[in-house]
Amino acid sequence: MSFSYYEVYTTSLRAFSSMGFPYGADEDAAYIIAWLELNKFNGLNSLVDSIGVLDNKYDGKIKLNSHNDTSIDLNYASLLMKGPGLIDFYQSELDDKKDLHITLNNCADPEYLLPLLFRSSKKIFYCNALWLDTNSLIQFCEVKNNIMKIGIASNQEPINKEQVRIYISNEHKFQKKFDSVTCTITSKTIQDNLANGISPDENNWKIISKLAARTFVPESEESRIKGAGGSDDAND
Amino acid sequence: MLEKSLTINESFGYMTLERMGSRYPSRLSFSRSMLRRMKKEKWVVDRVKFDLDKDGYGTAIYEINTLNQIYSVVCFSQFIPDEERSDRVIAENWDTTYAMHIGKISAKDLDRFKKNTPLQEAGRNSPCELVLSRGNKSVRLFKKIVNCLSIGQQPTIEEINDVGYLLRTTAVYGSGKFGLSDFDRTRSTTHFDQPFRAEMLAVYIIREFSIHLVEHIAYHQNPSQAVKLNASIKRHIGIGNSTGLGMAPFIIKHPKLIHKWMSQFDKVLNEIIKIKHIDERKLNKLSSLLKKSKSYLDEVLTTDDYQKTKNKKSFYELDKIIDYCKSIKTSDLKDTRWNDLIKFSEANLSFDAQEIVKVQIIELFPEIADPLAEDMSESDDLFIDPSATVNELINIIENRYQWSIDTDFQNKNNTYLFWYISEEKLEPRLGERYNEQGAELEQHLGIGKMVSELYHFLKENSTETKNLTIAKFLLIHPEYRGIIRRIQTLTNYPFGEVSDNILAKNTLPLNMLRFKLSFFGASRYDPKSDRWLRVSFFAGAPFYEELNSQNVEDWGFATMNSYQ
Repeated sequence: MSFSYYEVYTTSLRAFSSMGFPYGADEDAAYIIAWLELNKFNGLNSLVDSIGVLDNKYDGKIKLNSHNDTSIDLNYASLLMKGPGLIDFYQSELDDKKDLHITLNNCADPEYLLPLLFRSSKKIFYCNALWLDTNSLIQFCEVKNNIMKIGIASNQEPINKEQVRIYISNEHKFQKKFDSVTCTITSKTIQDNLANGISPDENNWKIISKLAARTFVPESEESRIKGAGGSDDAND
Repeated sequence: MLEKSLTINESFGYMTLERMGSRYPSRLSFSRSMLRRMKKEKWVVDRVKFDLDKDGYGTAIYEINTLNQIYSVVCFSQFIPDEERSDRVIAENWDTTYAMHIGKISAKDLDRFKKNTPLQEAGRNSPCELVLSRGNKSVRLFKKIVNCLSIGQQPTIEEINDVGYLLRTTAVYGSGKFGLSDFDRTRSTTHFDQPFRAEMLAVYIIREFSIHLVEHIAYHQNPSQAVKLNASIKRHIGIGNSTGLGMAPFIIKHPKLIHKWMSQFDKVLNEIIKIKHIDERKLNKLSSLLKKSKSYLDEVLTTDDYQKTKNKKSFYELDKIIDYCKSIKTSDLKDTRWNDLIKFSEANLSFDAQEIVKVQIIELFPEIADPLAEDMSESDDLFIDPSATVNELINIIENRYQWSIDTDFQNKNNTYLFWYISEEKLEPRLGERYNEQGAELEQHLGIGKMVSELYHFLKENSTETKNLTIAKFLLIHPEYRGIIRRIQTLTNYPFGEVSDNILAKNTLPLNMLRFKLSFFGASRYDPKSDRWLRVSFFAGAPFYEELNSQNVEDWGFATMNSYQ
């Protein structure tokens, strides 16, 4: 069954709200999931897998390392909660620097960075990120001018498991070389995906819809009476 | 006070609920600009299928041929018993249902539409559909006109004016609802690059269908004597719409878009007041438009006492501005500016009458207004400015949200209402916090309260905290992300925020509905409670076959005398 981006975003937004994400954090998290789903990265599947660590466990606070604020221990907390604040922070740190190298340790869900980095390209000239995937291949993405490339890049400095290295820059100084680009995201690919609609896994959709339904107020006679359209002249 | 673009503080006054609830359609309204584009680009409408039985039940398809793309509106008409006819969102059966599709409709598409469109919210649509809608008959007027036409007679225009439409839509969905095309795609790849333009075209076609339907039934009732509706009265038939609370959350959730609409309106007026003197022909035209507005107010029917009072007041007040126009001597025209008229109305007339004066002045300047009507879209993205400081945020709040700081949210009357989504067909509703269940599930629409809470929290913090960047503050207090993002973004969008507390007990939600409906181009406001109303679209507008460069623009404030 085909869904629109609006439906995926709205349903995710309600799901996050139902799980205790505050106003604003729910919007960021819904954006991450809807963007991933639209661009065929199975965002809803990732969300379903994360429900156990998110539901009524929201913690978006981030403690900076007093000696080195470009290295953060996420302690396996989801980037759905911590990611938006981190990107904002590093964007502000970039104001008086040419570039920044950032390391996230103990990061459980690096793919959530993709939508955040894509969005940040409206403000940050160039950024890239790399991490090890489950097959120990180095996943690499880079974003410039609203174009994101994602692929494999083996010829890199060693990277630890569950570590993410991010580079953001006000100028395009260097570019790591891809072994292969598996995906390119542009405004055209996004338009194409919107034109085709989104077809999430049916079971995942049911689970997220059920979470979203927790934000709806149960029906009551009193509530119905006050709704729009209730009058005795409907045939008039 | 429109000698230059409004300052931020002046803009606030325009976004109070009372002002919002006094607005009227203008040349910028979406129904107007849609019809204008249709005429300008010579869109051709063809009825390619009209497969209805003698009682008017069946399927019709209308194709809209633009230069390089065909759009189709499929219409389904079915029997429903009177007791199932309802304006409620929670209704499950309708006399007629519609979908608007990109391209021609194939047999396979039609089969899909037959299975889904009549189900409305319970059906599915594809990204190739732009609009989903439904409408019920005004049984009173529908039967009356069928009976008249079938015996070779015409209804009187007074009978038409009593109701105003044959069909009343109870929802017109677009922009990604129920699988429809997302607006980002619609805007980029179709002719509907302006907000609600596709919806307005669909509604216009539904109006065409309503006439074809009533004439078809009348013909089959008595083929030998039946006649069609006379053009002289037909144009007074609009298309009804029943509208509820969903429009209010839209206004809060799309602040940049709302700003855009208002700032375009403001820009038109600001361009007009730069004109150094008044042209006599335009002044005479304005007087005649104001008199037409008076006739409209005199004729428009509503059962709502509040609306009746507003209409009546405006009716009498318009005499003042008409007299003022008369008092301007020809010899004084070179020293008189349009701003003098606006200032006079602001000093002497109610908000409703002021708005009528403004929209009718705008009517005189298509060369200023019409290009701006083609630029009414705006991204919904809100952004955090992470490098700003907490102190700077406090300053913004003090400059922009004084109304919120001044509101005592400890007073229960100021937190009396809560906005929520009912599990019944996800209908947006308004509850009473201290009398009803569900307040813990309220939507984040109480902007004033959220701003006030943030402000008082910030003020109580240490100087050290106040010197933090917003990025660092949000690392410690991520719970404020949403409201801070909104405040920072809207710094440059002064019309984006409703400058009133919409949780207050005395909130009249209708004001927000009317604001949005005015930009749609709705007329004949007929409130049915404090939270829903009926209106008409395209009342007085030419039908497709009679559309020409003259009548495409002269149908605002249509009256029963407009067609002679």
